[in-house]
Amino acid sequence: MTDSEHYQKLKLELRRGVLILAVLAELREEHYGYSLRKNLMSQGLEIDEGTLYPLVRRLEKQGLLVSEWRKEDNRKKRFYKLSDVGSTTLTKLTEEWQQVASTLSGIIA
Amino acid sequence: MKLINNYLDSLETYLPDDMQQEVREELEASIYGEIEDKQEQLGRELNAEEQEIILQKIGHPMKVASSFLPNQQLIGSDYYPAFKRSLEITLMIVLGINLFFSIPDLFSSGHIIANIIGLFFHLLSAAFWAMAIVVVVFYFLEKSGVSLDEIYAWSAKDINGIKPKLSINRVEVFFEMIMEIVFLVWWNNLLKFPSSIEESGIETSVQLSSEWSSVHWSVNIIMGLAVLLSFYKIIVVGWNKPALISNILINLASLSVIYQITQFDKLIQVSDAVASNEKWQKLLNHLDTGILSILICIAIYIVWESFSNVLKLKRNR
Repeated sequence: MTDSEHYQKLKLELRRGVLILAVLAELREEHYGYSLRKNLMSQGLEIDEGTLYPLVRRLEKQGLLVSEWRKEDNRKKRFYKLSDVGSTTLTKLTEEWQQVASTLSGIIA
Repeated sequence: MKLINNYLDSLETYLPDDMQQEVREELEASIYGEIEDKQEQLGRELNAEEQEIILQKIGHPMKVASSFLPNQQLIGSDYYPAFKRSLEITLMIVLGINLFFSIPDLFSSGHIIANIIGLFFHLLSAAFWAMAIVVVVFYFLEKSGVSLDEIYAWSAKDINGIKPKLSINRVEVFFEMIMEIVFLVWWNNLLKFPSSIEESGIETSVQLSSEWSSVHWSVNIIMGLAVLLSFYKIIVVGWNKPALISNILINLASLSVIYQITQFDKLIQVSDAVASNEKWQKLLNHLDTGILSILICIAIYIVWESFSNVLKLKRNR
């Protein structure tokens, strides 16, 4: 494996850890799959369909999200939104993230 | 749009029935969402190549479908250490028992080489079944959600100290074991090598003298124990104290048998018709000397190996 491949792999691992937080935060507003992905990408978080859609389904199973099928522009779409449990979890995870980020800044500096 | 339909049809085939429609509709909405966005930017419809690029970026339908499915491994990483250890123990027991009970069959009717090949495939089949059963058991343990706490139940006070062992090369020991088995097979007349010699235009068969029969069973027992010891070494992949002591005892017994052989009047015999011939007498003396030299070399090797075993024992204390 080349240095660049190592870097890409590590970068993916690093991003995977924060992905849940980003998805939960983004779903404070209702989104369907593509609009969620588009919003994340427009803010600089690249994510492919094969990662995002299974992730939101898993979060829904865990009760952190709620979903609803609706027809929009003549097409059935599944809209996801943060549940009450998800909202509390997001607050706690955000605090945890801020603590980790501040600790890491100290270590890296 | 045919490309997209084909892609989604293919994706469905990799999903269980109850997930097919949901996943398809979710991905379909996403793909068309992206296409519509791009069409709006370009002010025209996307052609087939452009649609293909979008699908290529999503990935192989099988890979995408698999990301929606739980547990993509036969044995998950949490269960794997217990699975690996269980598999090792099961294989050791199954192969050990099968080998032990199959050894008599090697010397039964039929050609010895065919019997050895048969035994090899019998052991391979036993190992395969043992492995398959352990995999299935662990698969169902994981699937039924048996608690890992039960599998990894432990207490610090129950952990015994591990006695150190000196590592060995499995391939070398395997080769050693094969050589010991081949010797045993030859020793019991189940494998014959050409043994005719021609001298002064007379050809006769040469064989070990009748005096060797006095050590027949001693050699069988010593070599049998050596085969078992080699098998044990292959399993534990190393020397430990019991193995070293056993090897020293086997070596001492071997030296005693070699000493007994050196006391024989004749080591080799030929048919009576040529035994009185002077040239044949000379040849037999040379052969006796040759065999004695080989036995001395073996004895030196055994002494050296025993000495090396004693050193290993000291180091391993």
